Amino acid sequence: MKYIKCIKYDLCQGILFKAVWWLPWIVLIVLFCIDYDYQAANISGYLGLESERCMADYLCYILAGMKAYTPLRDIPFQFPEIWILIYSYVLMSVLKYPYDNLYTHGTQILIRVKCRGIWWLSKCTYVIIKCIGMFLILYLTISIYCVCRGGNLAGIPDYILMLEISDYMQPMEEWSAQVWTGLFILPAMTAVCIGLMQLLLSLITRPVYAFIGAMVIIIASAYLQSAFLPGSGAMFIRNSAVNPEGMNVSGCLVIAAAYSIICIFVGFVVFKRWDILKKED
Amino acid sequence: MRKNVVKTELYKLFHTKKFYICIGIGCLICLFNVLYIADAKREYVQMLEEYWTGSNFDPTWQSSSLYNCWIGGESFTLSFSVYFFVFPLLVTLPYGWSLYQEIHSGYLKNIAVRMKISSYVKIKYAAAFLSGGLTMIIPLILNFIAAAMVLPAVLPDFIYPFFSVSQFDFIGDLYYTYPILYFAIYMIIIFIECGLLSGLSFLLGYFVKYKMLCVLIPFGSILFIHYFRHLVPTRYELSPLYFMHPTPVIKNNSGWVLLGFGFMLAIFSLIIFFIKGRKDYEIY
Repeated sequence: MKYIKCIKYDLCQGILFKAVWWLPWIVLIVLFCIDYDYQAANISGYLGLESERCMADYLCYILAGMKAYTPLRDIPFQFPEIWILIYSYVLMSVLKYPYDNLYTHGTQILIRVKCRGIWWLSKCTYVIIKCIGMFLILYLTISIYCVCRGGNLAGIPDYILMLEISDYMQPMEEWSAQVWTGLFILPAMTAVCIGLMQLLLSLITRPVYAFIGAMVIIIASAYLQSAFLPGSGAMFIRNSAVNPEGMNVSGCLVIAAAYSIICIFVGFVVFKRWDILKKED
Repeated sequence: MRKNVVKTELYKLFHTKKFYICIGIGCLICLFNVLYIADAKREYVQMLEEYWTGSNFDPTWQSSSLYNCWIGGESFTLSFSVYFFVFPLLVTLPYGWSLYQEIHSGYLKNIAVRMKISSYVKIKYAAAFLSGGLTMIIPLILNFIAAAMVLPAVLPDFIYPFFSVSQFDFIGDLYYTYPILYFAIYMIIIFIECGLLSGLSFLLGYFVKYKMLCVLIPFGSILFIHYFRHLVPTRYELSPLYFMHPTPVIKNNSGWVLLGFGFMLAIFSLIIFFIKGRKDYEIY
């Protein structure tokens, strides 16, 4: 019961009362969709293509990331900007509240709850719900945008556009389980995983160092293709459904879930010994 | 009073844990780069020795020059990617929310009764500038020195495909004649740009509601500039994440872009200072 109350409190304080985070997020997604339309129109005009827009077009563009990078002197590493912006924004939005809540009126809640475990689990639940919520808004915004543009929600993206714009290696043949997981479940799960890592790091260090740590994980995931780096598998371009050398989505999902559970458990242990009277700098 | 404040701010700057932590993170990334490069060089030399037994001849001697292998000369290692991605956070962190904290803790009120607030903010801005520049430059200098211990300082030669600087790049000709001077000039430019970035994040303390935004807003803005750069058709690099790198990464580095970015940061800082900094500070 206390846990439910604690969660209600966190959701009100951290999500409803901080609704200011949602507007730039929606603007950002719409901006990416417009960018895709602009690029697709240019390429279609150049190649004489006529293809109907579908939701997967936008998803494949926004969640593409980058292909596995081979470190060669004459091929510089390029940051996958859209993918990085998406994750940076999600991580920024879950950075402040849990830590601040330790030092302001949140301490009163902590005293009244009388159990540190519940408090910690509630903060973890907040991070999980907010990350999933942000991705739900992403899908909702894209689907509304797609419908407004007269697009098809269930269509298959045009491979020529996928190849020309995002450099995909093979076409997306159908809406298989691999594609569904890669586009709808793994990105949110990855955000949850890195968000929980950031939460744990902010408990050990400070939120801003935790954010730097999360950014290093994001860049390392882009640089190296490894299932053990959360984020690496969340790039749809590295999904085995559209890349013969790609990664297995279920493996990435299991690893992300395992990291999340480890972070929750380690955080629980660390928070048990946490000095709540520690001064803020 | 003014002299004392300068002394205090410098003392605070060089005794702040955050300043040393940020430099430490930067140095760690840069030293990791040297380890990687040195290891790659060692493996390469071993391979050459196996194939060219008894000979010191290295047909690709130019490929592993100090000038194209240190972190400011190459653009393919993980450490390059990490360092030039997180630098906006590292340079703004030591002094980023200092003004915010002083406004919200009431410290500024104590200063207001002793000296003009605008003078005080100017001194603090100078300290923020210094902290930003030093945080960026110290790890780079350390990397250069450490790389020089393991790599030969072979003069770059344009006929080899290992050097990315061309005649279209800012002071590109200097790279092939006096590379040390080329990198020294770039270091000064990077120092100034990062100082201005840190100064701007410091002045954001006037506006923001949460202190972390002083650090996150410049970082987010740079990510946005990085994203929007592909909408501008130009041969020159417009992303600060790339043009802060002494040698070109994707597109050519332009002196005008470097100047423009510095100018933009300075203008924003001046606007904030004129709007907020010159106002009389109400202590009641």
